[in-house]
Amino acid sequence: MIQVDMINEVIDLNKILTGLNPSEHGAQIIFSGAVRNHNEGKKVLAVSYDAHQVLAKNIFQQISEEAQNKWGPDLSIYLVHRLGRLEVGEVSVVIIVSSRHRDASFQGSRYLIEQLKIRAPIWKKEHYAEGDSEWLQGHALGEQKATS
Amino acid sequence: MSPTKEIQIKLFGAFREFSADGTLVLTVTGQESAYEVKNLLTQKLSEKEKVKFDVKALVAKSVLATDSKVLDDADLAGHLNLSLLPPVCGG
Repeated sequence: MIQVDMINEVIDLNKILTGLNPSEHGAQIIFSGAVRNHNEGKKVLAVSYDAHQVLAKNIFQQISEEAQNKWGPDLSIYLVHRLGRLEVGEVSVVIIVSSRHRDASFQGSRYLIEQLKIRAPIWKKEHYAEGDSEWLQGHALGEQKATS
Repeated sequence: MSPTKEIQIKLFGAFREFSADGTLVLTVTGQESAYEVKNLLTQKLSEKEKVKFDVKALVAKSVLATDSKVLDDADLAGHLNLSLLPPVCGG
């Protein structure tokens, strides 16, 4: 199973988890990314996310299929990314991977977040306590390695 | 002189600051490479008043895409709607 989405509303983890864990799966990894209160020495108040939504969902689907090719077709994947302005502590991305045994879930989850960071057309603008804002420099599409 | 046509470029991330509706119209012949289209975009964006960063450098690191895939030079011809995608940083 693969489910991917981009939403403007708060990510409701309890709602997502309902019915997600197939009974044949003994392992489930939940990765949650949230807005951090600092970056490179500056106090961050919020982050605004922008995305090419259609292409981003295509990339989510692609990387999910790649994960299933690597760790087995029964790998169950749910991936959602939020858009718009998020305050510090709010959840921006959730990746839930389940599998029969834990190793596939751990590796699949790590693969998905790393690939999302370097391949999904998503951008973030940080809003600082000093009152200024800045679009973050990212990874040129085609580059290989995520750093944070 | 080759006939020209207009293509619409959707802007994202830092480039959104240049256009209220997030798009830019570019006049092309349809024979340009991705490199040449990006040069035209650099010229057009550099004319805008809101320039706060090195437009040429950011466009150079950006790619052109359709709604379904990132394009290379060979894919470029015939598309009337493109997107300019700067370096990404989701998560």
